[in-house]
Amino acid sequence: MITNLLDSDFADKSDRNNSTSKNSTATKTTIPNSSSYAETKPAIFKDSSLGNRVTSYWRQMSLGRKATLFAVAISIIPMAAVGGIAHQLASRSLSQQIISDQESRTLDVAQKVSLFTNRVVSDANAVSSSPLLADPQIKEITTEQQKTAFLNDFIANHTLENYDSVAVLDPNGNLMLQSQSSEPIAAQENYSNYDYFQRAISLKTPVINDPEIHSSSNKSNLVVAAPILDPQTNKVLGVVRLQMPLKNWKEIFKYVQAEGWEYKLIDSEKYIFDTDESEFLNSPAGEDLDNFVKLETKINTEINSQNGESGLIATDILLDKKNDHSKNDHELEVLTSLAPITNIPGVKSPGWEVVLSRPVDDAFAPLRQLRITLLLGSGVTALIVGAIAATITRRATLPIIQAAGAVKKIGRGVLDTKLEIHGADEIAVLGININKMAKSLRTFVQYQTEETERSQRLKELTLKLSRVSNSQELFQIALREIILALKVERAIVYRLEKNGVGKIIAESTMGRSASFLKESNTNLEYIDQLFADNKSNKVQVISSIDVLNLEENHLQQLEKFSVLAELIAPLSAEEDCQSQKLLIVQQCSKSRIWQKIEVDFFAQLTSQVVLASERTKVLQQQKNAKEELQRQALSLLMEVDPISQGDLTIRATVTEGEIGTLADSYNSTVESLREIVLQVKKSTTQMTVSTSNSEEFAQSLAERATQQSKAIAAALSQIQAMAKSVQAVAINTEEVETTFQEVLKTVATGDVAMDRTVAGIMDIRQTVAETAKKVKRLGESSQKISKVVNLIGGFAAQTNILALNASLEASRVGEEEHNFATVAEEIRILAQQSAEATTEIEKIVASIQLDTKEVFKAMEEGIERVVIGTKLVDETRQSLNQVAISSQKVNSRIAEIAQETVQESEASQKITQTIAEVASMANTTSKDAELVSASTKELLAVAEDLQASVSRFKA
Amino acid sequence: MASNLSIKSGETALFYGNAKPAPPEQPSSDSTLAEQQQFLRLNITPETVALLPIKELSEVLNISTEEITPMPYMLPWIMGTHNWQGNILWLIDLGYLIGLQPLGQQVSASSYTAAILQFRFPNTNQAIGVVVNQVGNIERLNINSIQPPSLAPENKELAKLLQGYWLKSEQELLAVLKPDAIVQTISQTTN
Repeated sequence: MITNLLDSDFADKSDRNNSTSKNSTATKTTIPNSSSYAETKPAIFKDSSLGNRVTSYWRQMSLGRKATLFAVAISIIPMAAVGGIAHQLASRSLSQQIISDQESRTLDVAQKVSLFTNRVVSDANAVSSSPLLADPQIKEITTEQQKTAFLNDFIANHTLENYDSVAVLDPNGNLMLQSQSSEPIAAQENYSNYDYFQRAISLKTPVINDPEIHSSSNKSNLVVAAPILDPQTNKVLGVVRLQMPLKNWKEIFKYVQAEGWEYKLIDSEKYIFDTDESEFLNSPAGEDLDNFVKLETKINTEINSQNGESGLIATDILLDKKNDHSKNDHELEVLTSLAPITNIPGVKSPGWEVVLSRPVDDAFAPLRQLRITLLLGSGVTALIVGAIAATITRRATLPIIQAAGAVKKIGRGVLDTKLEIHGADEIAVLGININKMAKSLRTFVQYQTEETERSQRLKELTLKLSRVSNSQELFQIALREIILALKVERAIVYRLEKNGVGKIIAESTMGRSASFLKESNTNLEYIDQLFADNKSNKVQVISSIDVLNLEENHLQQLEKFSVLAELIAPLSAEEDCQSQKLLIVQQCSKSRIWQKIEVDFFAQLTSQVVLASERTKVLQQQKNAKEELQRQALSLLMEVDPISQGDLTIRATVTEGEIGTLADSYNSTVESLREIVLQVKKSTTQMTVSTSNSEEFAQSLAERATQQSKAIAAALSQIQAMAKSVQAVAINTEEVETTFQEVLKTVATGDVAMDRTVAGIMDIRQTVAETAKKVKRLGESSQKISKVVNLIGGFAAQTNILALNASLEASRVGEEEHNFATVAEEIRILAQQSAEATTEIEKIVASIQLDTKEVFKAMEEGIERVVIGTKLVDETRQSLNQVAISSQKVNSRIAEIAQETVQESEASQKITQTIAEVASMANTTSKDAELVSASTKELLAVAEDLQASVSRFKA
Repeated sequence: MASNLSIKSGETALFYGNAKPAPPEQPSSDSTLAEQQQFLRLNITPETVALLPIKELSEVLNISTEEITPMPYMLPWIMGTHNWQGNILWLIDLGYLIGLQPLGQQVSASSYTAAILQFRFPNTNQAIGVVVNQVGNIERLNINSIQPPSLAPENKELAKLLQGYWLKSEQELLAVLKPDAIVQTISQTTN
């Protein structure tokens, strides 16, 4: 609550702050009632189921608690609200105060730093403006020792500032003079490159460096460079370099450090040059403080708005990175203030800044204390107020609770509960009414109990009476019960004759009351008077004897029996009869006013007695009728007794009534029995005859059955033989099947061989065809040869003739030409020889041609034969295939046959079994036949016995 | 073949008749050249060989059947005419003439061989062609060694033409024909 009420500026801070949030939860726990109430209310609308639960819980809660809760809530909620608001206001002002405190400290530190620095600057200025260095004339006069002594003096005089060294540099940055020093600056070094040197020469005013940390010495020094100016020419003659260790100004920060602040000095380039956290030295300020830029921008906006007036400061909460002792980095929230140090001339713009920071927890510790105090205060107050409220409420609701308790008790059945009543307000009225209600309930319950008792009595009476059959006994029991039920002293049953004479039939008394019956001459004649003209069945109620105006003697009699009050009810409704029974109850000890309820109860009791007496009467009548019936039946039985002896001629005498009817039917039954006996006699005779016949039949039947059995046994043996042969067939069939399988294999092999044969024949065919072609070609060639030979032959013949003619010519010419003739003759011989040779060739060629033709013919025939052979082989193969197919079919047939044979074998086994069964059946038949024969004999004997038995009947 | 054999035996009978001729005397080596004459062998049939004196022959011709013009109403052994050097040459079937198998029955050749027989009629120098189966060598023999036909052969036609026989060797007996007789026979029959 308080958290919510905090200033928005601090809201995030408080959220992050663990301790603060803890406190706020603690606040919640101190006031559980109000908070739970406040929280459950909206929850009703949020979640229906939860709402229902809360509602039911609320309803179940007792009124006292509800009122207490309500009172406590009313008293505490304002308290809490006031406390919260107070806390908010106080914390706001307090935190503002804390912040302004820190800011003023920061400004103070800044001021001090600037003062300190300015003093150093003024010292440097003093050195530089010393005539020893600045005045050229004096400068000329003085020696270097004098100048050094001057510098040494300067150092010695300023022990407070504790300067390290003071040195004089020429305008080119070379060292001219130096004081005695613990840390002298290097003589050889040229300082012209240093920033402060350059700035001092260019600005002609003293300048301050941005202190840097020397990595070697881990020290930071503040260096002030003041230019030495010629008074006349205002020319830079040199630079005084004044160096001071920064640790000197630690004094400035001591008192802020003592109060828990951390400080940082930040140079113009936003590097930290002095801090108490040495690890962040010489690092950008943003590295240590997160969001440092935020502060910077804040400052910048302020600078812009205020135009550089003094007292600029910005404060915010930043995250400080800490990496001290433990290695793991963590961040701490710190309240940080930043103030620029504005009034140091000579510092490189934008100048230095001082930062003071303190952990938020430390800074806002007073705020936390305030919060705890407030919470405790409001918590205690709330408790006290709540307690007071609860007490008051409890006292106020006490009567109502008491009333509720009383009603609860009554509800449980405690009816004599009574409320104490104080005052006369609505609660008192309620108490009175509750008391009244309890009283009436009590009465009602009593009445109810009595009623129950009465009905119980009535029930018992009815139950008892139902068991009784004798009327005298009945009256005795009834009277006793009535006395108990009505709580009277005496009860009487009185019979009133028509002629006015009355008699007491039964009486029952209670206690010491005198009995009427014991007095012989008792006569209740007044009753006659009472009932003389009153024939109604109503109950006569006599509360007091005095009312009746009785005669003196009657009164005396009654007094004797001390009868004071009585009830009289007619007991039987026999209007036509001579007598009337009355039931009278009498009260003797004291007079009694009869309640309507009692009278009604008496009437009910009476009616029960009436019913019971009626019942006993009826029972008596039934008993009488039964006895008469028994007597008649007995006489009938006596009459018909001879029938049991077998005499069917006897007849019973028929009388009126049920027994008569019985006798009549008895007679007709005996008659029909006689007829049946006659018939039985006749049939028995017939049966004897036929049984003797059937005996013969049975014997022959037995013989035949035996024969049948034998024949069946023979058949059985034959069938078994058949079964064996069937099995043999089955085995054979299997063998055939295997053989067929082999045949099939052989056929398949034959088929393969056939294929090979066909292939071989085809090869032969091809070869023959080729040979035929070659032969044909040979014939053609020989024909050509023959042609050539013919030609040669022609030439030879021609030559021959020519030679012949030549020789003819020669011979004719003369013997001189003998040589010529010889040559011609030789030519002719040659020609003739060649002719002969050609003829030889011709012959050979002809024979060749002839042979060739024959070969050709033979070839053609061969081819034809091959074709035919192929066809034949094909046909053979087809037939083989057909053989294979048909053998497969045959095989399957055989398999079927085998299967069928197996089935047959099974069937024949079954047949064997069946026949065996038949045989056994035949055996049993044979035995049965014998049994039949035997039993027929027995039957014959029985029939004869029967005949004998039947003959005993007279018919 | 049987007929041929019979013919052969018949031929033998033709030349020798019933009586076998006496073995011829060997011509003496000292016989004069004048008495020696040249004869041409003519195979009338392949088996029957006759000799004609070369003096009477002018030429041997090979005549194709187309060049023979058959003449109707002539004797059967006259084959026809042939145009020989612008003159009509009568061709006779010698075999047929002497009562042997006719040439037409022996061979069905496209040409015949004919020996031109030059005979001199008293008035004119005429020639006839004797057609034979085959013309053989020229034989030289002594005229004196020609033996006259001892007995009159049964074949009268042959007997008219036959001059004699010449026994060339033991195996061979050749008939020597008279050209004059041939011409005379032809002229008798034709006239």
